[in-house]
Amino acid sequence: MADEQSPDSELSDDQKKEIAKWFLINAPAGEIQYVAKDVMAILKDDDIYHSAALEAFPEYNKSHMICLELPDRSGDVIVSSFGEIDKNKYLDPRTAQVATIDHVKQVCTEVRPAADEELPSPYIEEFRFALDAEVMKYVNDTYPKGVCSVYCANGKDVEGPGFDFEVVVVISAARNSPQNFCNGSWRSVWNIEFKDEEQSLVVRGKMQVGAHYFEEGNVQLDSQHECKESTLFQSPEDSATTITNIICRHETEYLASLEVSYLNLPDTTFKDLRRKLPVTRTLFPWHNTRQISLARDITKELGIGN
Amino acid sequence: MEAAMGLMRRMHPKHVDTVLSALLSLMPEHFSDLLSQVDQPLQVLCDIDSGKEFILCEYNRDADSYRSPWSNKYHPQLEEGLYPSLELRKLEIEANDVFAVYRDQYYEGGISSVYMYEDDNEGFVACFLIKKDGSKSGQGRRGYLHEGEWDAIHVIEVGPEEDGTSHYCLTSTVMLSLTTDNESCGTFSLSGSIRRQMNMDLSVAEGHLCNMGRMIEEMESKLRYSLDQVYFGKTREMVCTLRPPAELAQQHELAVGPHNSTVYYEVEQFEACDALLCMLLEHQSLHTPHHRSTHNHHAILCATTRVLTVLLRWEADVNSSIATACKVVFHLVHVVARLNPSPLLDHLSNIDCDINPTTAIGNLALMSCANCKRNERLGILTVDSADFGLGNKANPLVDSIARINRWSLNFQQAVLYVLQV
Repeated sequence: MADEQSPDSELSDDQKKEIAKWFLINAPAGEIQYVAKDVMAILKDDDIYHSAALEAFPEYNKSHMICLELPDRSGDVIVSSFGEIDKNKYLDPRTAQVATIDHVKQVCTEVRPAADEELPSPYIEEFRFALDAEVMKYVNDTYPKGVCSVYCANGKDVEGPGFDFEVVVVISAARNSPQNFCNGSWRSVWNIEFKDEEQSLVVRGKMQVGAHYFEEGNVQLDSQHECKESTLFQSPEDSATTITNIICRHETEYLASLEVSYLNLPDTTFKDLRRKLPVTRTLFPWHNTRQISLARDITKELGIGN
Repeated sequence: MEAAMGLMRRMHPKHVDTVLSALLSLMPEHFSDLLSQVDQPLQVLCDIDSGKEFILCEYNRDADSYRSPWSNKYHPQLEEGLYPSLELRKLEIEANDVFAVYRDQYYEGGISSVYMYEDDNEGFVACFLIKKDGSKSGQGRRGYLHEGEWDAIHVIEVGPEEDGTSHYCLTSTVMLSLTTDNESCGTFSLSGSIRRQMNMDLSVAEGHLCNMGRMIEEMESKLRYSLDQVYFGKTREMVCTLRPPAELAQQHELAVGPHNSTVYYEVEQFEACDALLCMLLEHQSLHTPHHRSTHNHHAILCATTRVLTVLLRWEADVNSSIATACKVVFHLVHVVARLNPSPLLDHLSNIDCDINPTTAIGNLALMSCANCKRNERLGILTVDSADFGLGNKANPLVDSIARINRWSLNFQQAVLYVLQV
C-alpha cells in the first residue's frame, strides 16, 4: 500500500505536532491518556509527541478542570485558570497552599504554603471562606465524586467596604469507568460580582455536562447552559447561604431539564430523524414492491404527484 | 492501524471528518484501509438531467467523479467510467424506486440512493444510503431539533445463487447527531455512530430486493433502538451518576442507616433512576441477606425487571435461593412462578437461569405454576424446555397436580398451545 503515498503529502514536523495537539486537546473527558497512547503509536516520533504533549496537556487539564490530590493528602487542587499562578503552579485557596503540577502525568508533585501576596485580603477571605464552606456542604451532599473551590477573581486586595470584587465558584465532578466504556464529567463555574455601590450581587453561571459511551460504538452527550441572577449584598455568612441556594436551584433545574430532554427523545425528537415504524404503522411491504414501482410509474406518466 | 481505530472510537463523532483527514495525512500508508473502515458523513450532489439529489460514497465513485443512480451518468462527466451490467442496472433502478418509498415512510423526507456493482465472486454488492436532515430548517416535521442529521450506510454483499438460496452479508452504519436548544435548558446535544453486521442465507424466490430490504429494515430498527435505549440511556445514566437527582439523594440520606437496608430501599425506588443503585452496590455486598432474602428476591417481589437486570449485571447469583420460615428452600424461579408477571419469568429464562431446580421438598417451578394455576407462565417454562417428567419425592407429576387442583383443562390447553407454537 506504500505505493499510494505521494511524495508531496509528507507532513512537516510542525504540522504533525499541530495534529497531535489537536487530538490531545479534543480528547473526551478523562480519556486524554488513552488518546495520548494512540497518538504516540501513530506518530512514531517521541520528540514530536513530547513537544505536542507539553503544550496540549496544560490546556486540556485547565479546560476540563481536573482535580488532583495534594501529595501530603491534605486535600485536592483543581487545575483551572482561576487558581493559576504560573504554568505549573496552582493555588488551592482552601488550604492556602500552592501545588506544583506535572501536567503530562496529571499528578501533583509538590506543595508549599501560599505567600501572602498570592492570597486575598482578610476582608475578602471572610466572604470567600464562608462561601467555600457552604458550597462544599452542598457539593458533598449532591455530587458523589464532586470537588469544589472558591477563588477570588478580582479585587483580592480590597481591604474593606467601598470597592467591587468578584469571586468564582468552581464545581467539578468526573466519573471514569473505562472498563464499562463510559466516562463523564460535570463542570460548573459561577462568577459572583459583589457590587459595592449598588449593594447587590450578580451571579452568572455556566454549567457543562459531557458523557461518552463507546462500547461497540461512539456516542457522546454534550450539554451546556448559562444563567444569571441578582441578589442583595449581605454579610459574608448570609451571602454564602443565598449564593449557594441560587447555585443549587439552577443546577437542580438544569438537571431536571436534561432529564426532560432525555424523556422527549424517543417519541418526539428522535422521530424527526427516523420513525420507529413507517407512517403506515406496519412494516414495509417488501414482498409487494412491484406494485409500488408500478404505482410510481403510473403516477409519473399521468403527471399526478411529483 | 489499531491506534487509529482507537482514536476513531474515542474522538467526538462530530469531528469524524477532521479525525479522518488527520489520520490520512499522518499515515498515508494506510490510506485505503482507513477509507474502507471509517465511515464519513454522507455528501450530496445534484443530478444534471433529473435535478434530483443523489448521495456520494465509495461505491459510486470512479476517479473524482460520482455516478448518479437516476441518470446513470458520472458527475462530473467521465470517459469510460465503470457501470453495472444491464441486468444489474435494472435491479438498481427498481431498488432506487422502492427504497425511496421506504425512506419516505420511515423518514418523512430525506434523500436515498442505491448503488450496485458486480464483485469478483459471481455475486454482487449493493449499497443503500439514506441521508436525512431532521432540523427545524431542514425536513424535521415536528420542528424540535435545532440541528439533526441521520446518515445510514448499508452495504450488502450478495453471494452467488446456490440451490435457490444466496448468502447475504449486511454491514450497516448509522451516524447521527441531534441538538436541541432553548433558553430555559440550554443546548442538549447527542451524537454518535454505531456499526453492526448481519449474515443470512435466504431463498431468492421472492427476489434479492425483497430479501435485502427486509434485512435493512430489521437492521435499521435495531440500530435505532440501541442508539435510543442503550447508547443514549448510558449517557443519561452517567449524568445521574455524576449528580443524582435530588429526590433520590434525599431518599439516599434517609435510607443510610446502621443496617443494610439501603440497597433494598433503592430496589423499591428503582423506577426513578438506576444509577444510584449501581453506586450503592459498589459499596455493599450483593449477597448480604436482609431478612433472609437476597436483593434478587426483593427485586422480584417488587416486580421490577430492570432492577433485576442491573442486579444480575452486578453478578448477583441467578440461581440463588432463600430459606423461608418453614425451611423450604425457594429458588428465584419458584418465587417468580408463584407470584409474578410473566415478563419476569421470560427474562429469567432468557438469561440462562436454571429452570429445573427443586425445592427442599422437591417442588419444581412447573409444579408451582400448576399449583397456583398460572397459565402463561407455564407456557414460558415449557417453551424453555422445563422438564415435565421430573417428579418430586412425595408428589406425582405436574399434570396430576393440575388434576388435583381442578385445573386440568387449562393445563392441557396451555400445553397444547405451547406444542403448537
